[in-house]
Amino acid sequence: MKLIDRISDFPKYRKNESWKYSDISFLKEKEFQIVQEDHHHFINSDFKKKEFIGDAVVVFIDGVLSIKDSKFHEDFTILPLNQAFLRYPEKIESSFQIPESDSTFVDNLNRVFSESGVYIEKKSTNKTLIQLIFYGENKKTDIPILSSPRVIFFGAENSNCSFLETHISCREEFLTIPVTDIILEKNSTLNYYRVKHEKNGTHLGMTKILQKENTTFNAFLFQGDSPFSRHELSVFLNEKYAKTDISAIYASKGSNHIDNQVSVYHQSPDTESEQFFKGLLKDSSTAIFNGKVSVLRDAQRSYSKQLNQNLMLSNKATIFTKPQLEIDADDVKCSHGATSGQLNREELFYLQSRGVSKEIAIKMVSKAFADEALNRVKEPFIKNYVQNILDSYFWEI
Amino acid sequence: MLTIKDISASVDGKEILKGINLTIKAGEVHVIMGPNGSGKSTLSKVVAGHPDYQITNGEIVYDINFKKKNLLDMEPDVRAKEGIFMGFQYPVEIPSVSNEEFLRAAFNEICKYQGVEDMDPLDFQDFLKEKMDFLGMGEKFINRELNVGFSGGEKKRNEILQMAVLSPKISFLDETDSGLDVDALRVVGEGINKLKRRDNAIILITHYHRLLDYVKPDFVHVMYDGKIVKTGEESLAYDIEKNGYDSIIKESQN
Ligand SMILES: Nc1ncnc2c1ncn2[C@@H]1O[C@H](COP(=O)(O)OP(=O)(O)OP(=O)(O)O)[C@@H](O)[C@H]1O
Ligand SMILES: [Mg+2]
Repeated sequence: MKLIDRISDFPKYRKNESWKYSDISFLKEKEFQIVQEDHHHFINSDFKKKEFIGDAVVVFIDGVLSIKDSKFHEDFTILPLNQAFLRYPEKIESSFQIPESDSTFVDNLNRVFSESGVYIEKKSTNKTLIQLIFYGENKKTDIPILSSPRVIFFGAENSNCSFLETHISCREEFLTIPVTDIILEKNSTLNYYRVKHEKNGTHLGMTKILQKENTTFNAFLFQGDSPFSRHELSVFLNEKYAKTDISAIYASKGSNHIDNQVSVYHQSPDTESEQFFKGLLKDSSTAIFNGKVSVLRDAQRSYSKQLNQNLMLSNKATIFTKPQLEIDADDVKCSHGATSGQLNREELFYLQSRGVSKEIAIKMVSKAFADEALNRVKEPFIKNYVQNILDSYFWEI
Repeated sequence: MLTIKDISASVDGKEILKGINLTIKAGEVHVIMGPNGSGKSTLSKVVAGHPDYQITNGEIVYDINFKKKNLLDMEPDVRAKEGIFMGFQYPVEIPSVSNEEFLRAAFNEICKYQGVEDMDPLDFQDFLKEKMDFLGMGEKFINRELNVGFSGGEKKRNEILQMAVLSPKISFLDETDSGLDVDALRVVGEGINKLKRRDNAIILITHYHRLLDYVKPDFVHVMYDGKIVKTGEESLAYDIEKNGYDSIIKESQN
């Protein structure tokens, strides 16, 4: 199967502004196959020890939900999506309340190819963590795999939850199009962590959130490098007092390409949002930050802040950073800023003058740069998890 | 121990040091004074190996353990590992790097270079505590981010703490006495005095003689326009503070 055969208007995606610097036409003529059913291979215990950090763990292998490998917990309702369609049709229906974001390309791709998905609901206020692992198996196939899993998450009224989404793969070539839909009911809180550290393949991910009254959404996103990686986050602050706080790190190297798309839609009064994105770029890699804030006319007294900082560890790397503000309300507080800079020479010299070699000084300073975002992660084991990934990135500096 | 021979240095083609000669022996304390912009900080940065400065002439020979080494061939961190230290006039703030983490990294790198075993973190804490007590520094300093939000005086004390931990052979202390209140000046002055040994040397860059109440100099040099224009004894420092640089500069121009 070729993508172009299933998506006839494939080339049109680039008409959307958000694809200006990201070209995926290389996928057009590639052959892919989709895995249809639950695998018979259990994840081994070493992997579990290393990667399972949630109270509940939902495992997808090559895009297919693997109930056998998952771990359940009483705080969470977890159901395969096709069963949830039958059991909670009105819930699933309501997940379509999430408005469409400006670019629907990834969402549509996911729908076209989606074979498997999961429905999750959190009702309690217990501080439990659910983890979703998207794993590409270490098995050779003649034709690369296309995976297109879908997650629908409900945070019930007054609930409190942490949600970790990790993407890892042993495969050399693949295309993955994971989409997560999140609905936060009144007074609920969600801490969302998304860690993408596949080494290879093409990743086109998306997360959409609909926030109702007085909800809090805290996100931390990490995009480690692979040849082509893109994540779109769309947050709809749909009712008053909805609040969102997004921090992110992306770290690129080689000739890789990392694309960060964030859109926050202030649709009601007294809503707040903050975006804090930090990028590290090595070698001849490219990264994109496209941060959009839209404030509707009714969304008076909204507050929004956006900051994107980039550390260029090579002068051959390229960053495209673009804030996009569309503000129709008059009583709002919005600020934004973007910087990109080399390592600070004075900082390096100071460290060197105390006997720290240049290599270690560079690592210390880059680590310090990333820590400003990483320190916002409250759960220590998730922080460690990302720290370890970053350490190996710094190790190669 | 350190011989600076006819050193000239420039930035972007602009000559700042214009033939400096200075010989420093073990156990000595030198003072360098001079009007603003005369090149005092540049001289200490050149010795420490700051990459902004091109050396256009001269050499710096470092004589340690009966071996002569050419300092200009070494990277800044190697100079530090060999025992060169510079107390910054404007210590750099480094966010997110903790003071302790930094000190331990520096200390361990120097140990490694000198073939001494690493100290384990707990022992290091004790070692550090001892140095801090000796400088009258509170524990709160140590867990903070390196120099971030430190007051001017706290930064200078932190420089001396680093000197105490790394125990260098040659220390250029660039205006370490500026911005200190009277009590801090005494603590820093006494601290430097205690760190002075027979096998090391200290070069104090200063605008005032008040630090000299605590540390007695062997020589006082006056820099002007990238050169050392006069060398004298301690009394020269008092002289300058009373009468300014005018007559010295005039004298040197004749
Ligand atoms: N990196 C640099 N780029 C450009 N000019 C420089 C640089 N470093 C030093 N200079 C210039 O060289 C001259 C000497 O500077 P330096 O900082 O060494 O003076 P100083 O004697 O330490 O002065 P002060 O007493 O004010 O600290 C000044 O004119 C300064 O502007
Ligand atoms: Mg100076």
